[in-house]
Amino acid sequence: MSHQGLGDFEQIVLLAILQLDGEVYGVPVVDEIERRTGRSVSRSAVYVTLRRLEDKGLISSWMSDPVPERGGKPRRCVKVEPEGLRLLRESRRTMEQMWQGLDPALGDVR
Amino acid sequence: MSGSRPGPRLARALLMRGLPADRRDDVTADLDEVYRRRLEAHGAVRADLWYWREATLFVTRFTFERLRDRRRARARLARREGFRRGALPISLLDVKLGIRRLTAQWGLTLLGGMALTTAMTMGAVVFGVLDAFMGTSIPLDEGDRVVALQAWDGRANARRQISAADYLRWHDRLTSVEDVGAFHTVGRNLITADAPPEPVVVAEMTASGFTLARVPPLLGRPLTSQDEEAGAEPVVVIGYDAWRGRFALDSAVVGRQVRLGRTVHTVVGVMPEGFSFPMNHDFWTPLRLDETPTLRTVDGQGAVFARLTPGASVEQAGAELAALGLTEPEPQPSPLGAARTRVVPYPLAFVDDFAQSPIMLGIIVILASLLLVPPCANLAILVYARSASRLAEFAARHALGASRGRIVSQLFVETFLLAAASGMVALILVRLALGQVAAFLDRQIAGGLPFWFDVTPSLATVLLVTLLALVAATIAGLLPGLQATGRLMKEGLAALGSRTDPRLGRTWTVLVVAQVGFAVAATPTALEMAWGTLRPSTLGPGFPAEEYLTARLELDAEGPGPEDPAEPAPAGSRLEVVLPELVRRLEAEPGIAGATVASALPGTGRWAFLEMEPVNGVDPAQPPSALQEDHLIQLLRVGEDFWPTFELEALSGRLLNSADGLGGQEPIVVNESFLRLVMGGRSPVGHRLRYIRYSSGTGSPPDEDLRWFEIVGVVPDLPASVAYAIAYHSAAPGDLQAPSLAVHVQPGVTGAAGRIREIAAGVDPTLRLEQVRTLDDLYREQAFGNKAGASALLAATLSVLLLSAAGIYALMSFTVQQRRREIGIRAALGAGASRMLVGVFRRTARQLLIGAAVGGSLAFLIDAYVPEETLQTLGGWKVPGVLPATAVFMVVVGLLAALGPARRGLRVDPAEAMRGDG
Repeated sequence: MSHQGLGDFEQIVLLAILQLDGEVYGVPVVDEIERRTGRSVSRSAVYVTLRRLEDKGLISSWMSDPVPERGGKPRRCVKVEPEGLRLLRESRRTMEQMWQGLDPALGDVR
Repeated sequence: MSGSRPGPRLARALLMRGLPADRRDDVTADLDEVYRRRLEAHGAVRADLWYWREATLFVTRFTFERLRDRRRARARLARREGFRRGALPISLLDVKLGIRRLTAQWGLTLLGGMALTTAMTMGAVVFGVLDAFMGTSIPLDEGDRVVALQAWDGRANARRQISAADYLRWHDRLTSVEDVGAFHTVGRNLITADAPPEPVVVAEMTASGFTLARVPPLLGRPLTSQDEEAGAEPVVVIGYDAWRGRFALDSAVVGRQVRLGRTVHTVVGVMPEGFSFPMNHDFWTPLRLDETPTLRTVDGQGAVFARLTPGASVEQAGAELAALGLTEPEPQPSPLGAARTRVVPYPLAFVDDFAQSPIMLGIIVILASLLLVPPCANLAILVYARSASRLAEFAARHALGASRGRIVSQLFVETFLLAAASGMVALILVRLALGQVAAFLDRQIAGGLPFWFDVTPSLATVLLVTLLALVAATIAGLLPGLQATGRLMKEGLAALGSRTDPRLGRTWTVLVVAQVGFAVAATPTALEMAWGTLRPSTLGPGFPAEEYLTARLELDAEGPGPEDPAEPAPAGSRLEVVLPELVRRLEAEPGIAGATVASALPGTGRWAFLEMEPVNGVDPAQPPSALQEDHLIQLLRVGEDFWPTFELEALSGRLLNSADGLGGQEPIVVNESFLRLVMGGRSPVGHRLRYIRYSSGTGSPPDEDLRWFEIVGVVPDLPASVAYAIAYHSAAPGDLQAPSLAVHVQPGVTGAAGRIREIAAGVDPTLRLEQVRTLDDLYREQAFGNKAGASALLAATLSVLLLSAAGIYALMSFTVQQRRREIGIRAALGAGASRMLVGVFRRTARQLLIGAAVGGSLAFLIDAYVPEETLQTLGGWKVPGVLPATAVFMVVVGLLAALGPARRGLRVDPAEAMRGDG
């Protein structure tokens, strides 16, 4: 499937998935973003983005085994596909190139 | 403990409707997971609010996403095909104009909308309930292919019991179905070491039920065919709710032992949340065919089920089953050619005669459409009046090239928009009402509602509401639109310049008179029914009903358990021993002021028609109402301790005692309402009565019941709000079948229900206390149906009242509009304001008075035909003076509605009026 670059929020969601170990599904993804950014994030926006990323072929999903604590309901687990990793790398490279040479001028930005 | 409690049901239903199918389950489960965290941290209210907010955001965002995808797809298509978007379709313009007019005439919109909503809700609720019961699929994998195999009594048109031999033949030989199995429901006391005994509903089911359902257990294993063999160890599979509620989600529950009645079972598996096949079950034990010569498949408590094999249809399976037939002879031969077996979609296995269900639904659709007629007729009057006054506008549009069809379609769209908006509100109300009905039925059906009962309005219900909206728009928009534009088409532009104003015909006047008459006629009865319904909760039961815990008592009819090898006596004679002992132990318990056992609780007994013994050839009773042939009475059989438990004392005569049931004579005690309703205020003590037939189709009583019973005393009404006659008979515990228990718990005592269960299980482990609740709750539930009916009646009456007022307002506005020139000329000639006011008012006042007189006469006839006793039997209560008050109210409302336009008319400037177009 053809697609253009990644949006900011799409990047954040992809990075959150990569940061997590074990069964990665919607709930920990939202928690991870909130923990790392220190801001609350719209849960529905994350889920819509997950679906869009899957439609674009950047992540894939599958259903886990039934989970007793969830009343026997399975989780939809996700993982980043090679195409997603490629786009993330591309985005990072683009951003780094844009930042190059700005350190003296924006030294106190960090 | 929050356990695995899911989020609010309505919010979950919203998610289920609004999310894409492939995301529904996992998104809802994720939200439930976070919800439970928030429940622990912030409490129920904040967690519920959070869930609602999230559900709304999710649905909104996914909807926008879907719309965006669609828009992009369309744009892509347009780019590919070089498609250029043209002008807006003309119908959209109609919609815009319609919305504008509805907003401008907000009063009419509100009134019409309310009336249409009321009518649509009433029709759709009845349809929705039946539809929920008569669905043909269950929420299992390929649930539409699960069927029930039935033995059929063609003579009685009813299900028959199926012998184990026939079941086994079906099981072995049928090829168009697989996973053939059977179940029946039994009640048992669940007894564990750490909790009071609790009555539970158990499915004795063949192992094939689990294969058919295609749902693997969460823990352990399902039942297997080895469990069904004679001599196998008793085992039980439990459901998720039981695992959570009784075993605190203990993962080591498999292998634990629990007692069901007399028998100790080993837990071998736990089923996942939501699994309740075959009906509403949370406990499954093997069905032992060696102990079950006949399957109980007649009373909704059991069925033979199967799954259609790939490619097979219900009809094919039916033909194959008919060919295989039954070996058991029929009690009475069926009519020639009548079916002896049937195959039906599984949910219909528990509905009496499914063959009639489409007809039934059809009748409801027609009745629902008829319900719409009165509000639509009212609305049509208003639309017609407004359309007639817009004739000049229509003429101008016609001259500019608009066809009659365009003008009428605009009127239709206006009304359809109103009806569609009403339909949407009606659907929300239907959802709420279905929720209430479901909650009510859930409490009434042992074990709760069947698992396939879904209270979310089905597609069929949505389609029905859409159809009703179309019917409403046709009656209230299309017809008046056609009529109003008829003359325009004949006269064309001449209508624009015409000096003769359009006239509201005689039909219109008749309709206004009819609606005022209807309001005056129907309101008193509606108010009396409403008051009859509200009266018990307003007045209260007259005694502290909340202090009385009640339950239905049942004894298991099972064989001896391994711990008690003695053969138990039949349940009837065991009751004779068990009940007095239960009452004795309860009364010895601290905190319990009294306990008694009766055939039913006060206000819930069986109904019969009575006859009084003539004295000197004269019937001492006053004649029953015109609608009834005989007086109706409720029967209760009570023990000696009934009177002290309910603190009842005789108003006259005496109470019953334990000697009263002996020696052939059986004196009875009646309530105060008997004295009032049957005896017309005279004392009944010393008179004799007998029961000539029972109500609810049970026919005449057996001969021995036709004996006379002497009335020896009168007691106060219990509950005090009771509005019918009651007769109390003396009963020994052994006489009572399925008796009810009432325990007077002293105020401030907590945990009484658990203690009572413990005491009952101590008396006999197979003695089950079903539906434990306070008498107060019982009365509230009894009033549920009446309340719903009264609310619907009140809403309908209110709609008619308001629409009548609006109709009168429209009539006056139109009359004044018509007579502007005349008023102007008369004012210029020096006529006084009061004379003109009388002139303007005359026609309205005449219509109001005729309407009030017609309605008043009708109400008077209803009043004469439905006297006090019948009204009270129907759930109403006489309200003195309600008829004249309604008539006066309607006339005053009508005059007030006429006042505004009349005053506007008097302010007409004579010069302006004579110069204008009229």
